[in-house]
Amino acid sequence: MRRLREGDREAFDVVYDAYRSRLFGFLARLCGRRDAAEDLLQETWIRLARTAHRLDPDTRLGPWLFTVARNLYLSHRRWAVLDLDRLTELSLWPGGSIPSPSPFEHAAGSELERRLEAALASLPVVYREVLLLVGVDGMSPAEAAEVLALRPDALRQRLARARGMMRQRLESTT
Amino acid sequence: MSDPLDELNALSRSGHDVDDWRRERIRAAAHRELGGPSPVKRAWDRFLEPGLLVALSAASLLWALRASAAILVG
Repeated sequence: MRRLREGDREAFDVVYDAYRSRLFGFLARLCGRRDAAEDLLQETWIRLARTAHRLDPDTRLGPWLFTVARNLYLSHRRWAVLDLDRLTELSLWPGGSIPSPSPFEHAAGSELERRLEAALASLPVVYREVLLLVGVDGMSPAEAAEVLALRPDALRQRLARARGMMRQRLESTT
Repeated sequence: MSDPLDELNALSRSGHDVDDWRRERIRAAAHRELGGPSPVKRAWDRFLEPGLLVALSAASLLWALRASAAILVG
């Protein structure tokens, strides 16, 4: 952390190689689009590089990076919704929700992975993100609560609900 | 049926990543930004730009007060 704060490129590379793939998976499954996820991923790393010198020495980089990535996604989503509203107004889009299939569904290595990707992609974002953080990225509930800016009991409730919805989706595709 | 959280763990091993070109492009862009802004840019952001703004605002305010006073006094 000290070296990263001093602007050491090697220290940055260590963090970059450790978290890049995880962050990309998280963003791509949230966005449902690889291209948008790549742009948000780039912005996340640039934010880290720009603010590294101001970070506290005891900052936990994992939750910090996921928090930034999630905030960037939420911001991107607000603009995407605005765009969709404009398209609807102009009658260029038939209406309804933004289609968001999983970008990894076709690349899934097994039937189980394909079903999981499809079930995840069908969940509302608030439940998908908690499952991605705890289930896929292996964060502790405390870390996930920090990323999602939730109290621990609210996180537990949301996780339980997300689990139930995921189970339902998986059973319906069996 | 098993816990979906355990099953989701299978996705963590799938290791999706951006392509090589994009990966290195992001790395290069971040390297350029490392270490924060230059001392000149930092001084501009922290002192020079706000100082200039205060000076211009004060000058405009003074000018407006003098113009108003001149009209009122005749």
